[in-house]
Amino acid sequence: MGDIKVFDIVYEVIKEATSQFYPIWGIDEERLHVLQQYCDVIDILRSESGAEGYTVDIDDINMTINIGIVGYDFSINNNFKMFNELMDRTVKFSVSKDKEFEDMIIVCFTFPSVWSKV
Amino acid sequence: MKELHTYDIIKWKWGIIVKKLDESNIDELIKLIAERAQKESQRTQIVNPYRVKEFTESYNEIKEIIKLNKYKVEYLMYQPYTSMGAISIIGKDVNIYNTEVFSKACCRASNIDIYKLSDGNIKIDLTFHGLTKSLEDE
Repeated sequence: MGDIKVFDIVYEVIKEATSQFYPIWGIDEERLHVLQQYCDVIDILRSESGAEGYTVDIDDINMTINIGIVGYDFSINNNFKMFNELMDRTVKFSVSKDKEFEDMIIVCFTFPSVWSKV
Repeated sequence: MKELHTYDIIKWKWGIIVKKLDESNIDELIKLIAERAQKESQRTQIVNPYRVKEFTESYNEIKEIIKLNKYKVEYLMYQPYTSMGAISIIGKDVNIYNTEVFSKACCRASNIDIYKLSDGNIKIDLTFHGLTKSLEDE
């Protein structure tokens, strides 16, 4: 898990979604670059919290991007400022139980859309 | 569960304890930290009004943000040690839409812990350190 970057997963999901949104919507490179920076922070937080993995999905209606950190627990001490700054940039912050593995929780950050009208 | 590193550095008020961590001495380390914290609590403490204000402001803001939801917000002050306090949000699933305000309320805390309770609820703990300070530190 250590070498997997969340942005690699996010980018694959975005590419797939873009094919559905095309030709009305296209990727806004600037917004994508910002999202990549958020993903770098999520990698750091996942590493500190010792969480097990990620979930990534896209809300087809709002076109927002949900990035979740999956683990048994989530604890941030050293990068707490980073966590707050990231949360400040989300449209929603949520914590839920993993439907597949009930012992695990998903700490999810919802980010604004990276698509703009073509 | 969180992986234990062979060497873990625990930052502590009186310095840094470097300890080789494995299953045999983790209990010993926890005991050592508890003893030190206990000793600190027994020293004469005065309330740190600036920090207490931050704590109460955060609690009020968090309560305001999630008042429409069915989450429980509670706080513990001066527990488990006099210099500590925590604000907890408990719910089945926690969804926060007003993230800007929530982030502002959280940023005064020292750290965050999120975990599942045995009753199936989720708990978010925001821990605040420095609610009191020792007179000797003044």
